[in-house]
Amino acid sequence: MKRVLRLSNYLFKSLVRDGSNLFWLLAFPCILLVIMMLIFSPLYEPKNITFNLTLISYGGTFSGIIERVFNEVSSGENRIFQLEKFPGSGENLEKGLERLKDKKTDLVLEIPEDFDARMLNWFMMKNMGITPSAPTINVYSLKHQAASQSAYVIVKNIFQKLELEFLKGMGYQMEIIPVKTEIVGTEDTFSYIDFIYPGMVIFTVFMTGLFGIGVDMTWLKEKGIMRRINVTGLANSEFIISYIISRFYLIILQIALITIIAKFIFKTNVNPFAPAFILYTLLTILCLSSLGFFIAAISKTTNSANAISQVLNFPLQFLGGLYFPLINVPWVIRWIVIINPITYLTSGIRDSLGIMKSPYPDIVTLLVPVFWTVFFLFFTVKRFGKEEF
Amino acid sequence: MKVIWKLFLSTVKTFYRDKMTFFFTLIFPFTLVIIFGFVFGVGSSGEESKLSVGVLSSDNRLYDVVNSIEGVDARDFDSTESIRQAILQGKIDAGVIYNSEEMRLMLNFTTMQRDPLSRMLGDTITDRILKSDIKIDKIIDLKLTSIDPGRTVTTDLGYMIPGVVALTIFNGGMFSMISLFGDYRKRGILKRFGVTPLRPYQFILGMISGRFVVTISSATLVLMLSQLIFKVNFNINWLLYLISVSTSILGMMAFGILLSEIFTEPAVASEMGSLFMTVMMFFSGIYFPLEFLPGYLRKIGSILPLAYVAQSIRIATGVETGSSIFVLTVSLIMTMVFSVLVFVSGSKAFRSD
Repeated sequence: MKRVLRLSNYLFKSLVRDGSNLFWLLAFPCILLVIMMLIFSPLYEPKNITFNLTLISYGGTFSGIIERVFNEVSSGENRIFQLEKFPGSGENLEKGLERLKDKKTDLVLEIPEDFDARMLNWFMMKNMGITPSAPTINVYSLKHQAASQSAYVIVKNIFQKLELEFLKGMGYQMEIIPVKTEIVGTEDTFSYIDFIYPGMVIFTVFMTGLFGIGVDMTWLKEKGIMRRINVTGLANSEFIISYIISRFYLIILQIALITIIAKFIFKTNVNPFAPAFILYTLLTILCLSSLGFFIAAISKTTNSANAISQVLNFPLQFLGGLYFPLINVPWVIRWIVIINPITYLTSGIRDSLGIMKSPYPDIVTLLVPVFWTVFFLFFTVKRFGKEEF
Repeated sequence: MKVIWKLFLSTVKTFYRDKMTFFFTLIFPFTLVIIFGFVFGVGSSGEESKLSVGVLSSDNRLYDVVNSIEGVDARDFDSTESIRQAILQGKIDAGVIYNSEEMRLMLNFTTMQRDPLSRMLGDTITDRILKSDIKIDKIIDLKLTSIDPGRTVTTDLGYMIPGVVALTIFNGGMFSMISLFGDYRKRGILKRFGVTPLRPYQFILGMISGRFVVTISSATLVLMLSQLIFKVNFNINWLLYLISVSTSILGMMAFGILLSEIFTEPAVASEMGSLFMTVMMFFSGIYFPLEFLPGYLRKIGSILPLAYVAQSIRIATGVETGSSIFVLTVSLIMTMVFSVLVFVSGSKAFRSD
């Protein structure tokens, strides 16, 4: 036992002494967590976003009301728009559209020359019991630009509110209906860090499985290091146990680092000592380490192990729901989501922590990773049994 | 000339034999197109998919009101739980429950991911309900015109692909120079060539031209394959395309040379290259919108070379309008930086060995 521990200490030290391992297995997951938070957090929890809006107006009573509303939402610290106003003319519209194409503005709003007359006409006709066609305001957005599309949604919402005010002014009694929004499957206080943190824990174990075990073990095989250890009197099983323990040390270190960043920098509410979290983390370690051994068993050279790991890395990572949920993706890629053990590990861990409800029953989130673990280990043992180290 | 040609040929062969370079230059960017393309709903058909909304209400109008909203498809449900389950399993995108006093809008996480402002759907529905009470459809008609930013009408995926081509160029150009100026130097390959009658410029020219042709072919292949598989439209100005792609390759090669100069250990240079690749992939606006990011991050994104390469290629492929002067200025800067770095590093590498 003593020499097993001594060897595992040695294997762990030699692993972390290697700059490449240190970077990819320890530093990179932390960097990725920070990047993910910076990119996705504002998408889910939009705040302090200001859109550029160009307003072209010919003036008039109703146009003036609209201008005042937009002036209001474009002032103060929490303003929604950065507003630029131009007097109505064909030339200014052209200028506005050019600015839109150059991405200098996100949306162009043109209140046409006849808008006031048509609004007046609308109210008069309505009072006479006739419903005329509504006066038009032209809105120009830019395709493929998220800001442009979002700005349009907000403008649409502002006009809805404005219309209700006009109707109230006409004497209609209208009680605003309160809206309660819920994101199904998540806690009331959803935060992206709570969602991403368990995903990053699985990611670090996945990286260790692929590169820290799969590629590394193949290298040991290829260089004949295992054969040399064999002649020292150390049993194969002792070496494998030491190897597993050394990787376990690494995984603990990785998870500790990710947890420190998630807890102290991004203030996650997830309790890393929750039994469910520990259970699923252990299952993840078991399943994804087995995947690493499986890669080592099927690869003859380090180069091919590296290639297999790279090919598996991105599809399994992105289609396992680590960074974003994959509920209704098309069948072209859904089959990868379904056979991917990471899908069930991420769903299970998030469900057990109450972060997001799993679309799969609890038993499935446990049994699928267990099935893959058994498959990987069975194949690995069979393959390694035939090989001579 | 014959020597340069032979070196050129061997470089091309090495590329296709080296699994990792092949993977990162060709397979990796294309895999990401497929994954992000489908996950973030940027379909290839060009038609916007409708938002499927489950409806539960004792008020029969709700179904019609929801169905009347542009881009929304209403579906009837008989209990809150059945709506919740349907959302959870991805069968519908959202659910609305209305009891004449309060409205509950239930959203699918993925719906919010595709459209962060989908939570405003509740306001739109209540607004329509209130107006339907007084039999008014609308007072002001907002007439939306979506303008294509380029010469051609393309889908969101079509707009994304030139960025993927830029990533192919970045990977191909940068990693090839890390290998040439870092790995070859470390393994003493340059030293061995130094004792042959081969002149340094012949060696560098042969190697660089080989990698150059391989990268330009890979980038164009990604563009063509995307066009073929996803049926996206481009209006390629081939002259501008060749200028922007060629000079971008040189610029990215310059970036690789710079990394090899700063990090003399090739493994470290390669890792730094991968790190830069990750940062640029996320912050250059290729796959994810940058508009929701804080100002300082948008500024970082705007100084990344990949953002300029992607914009040049978008202009060349017609998915974005922009002046040729922009493309030519970027091209000129890339070529100048490359020329200086390749001259300085090339002579240094051979002199020191």
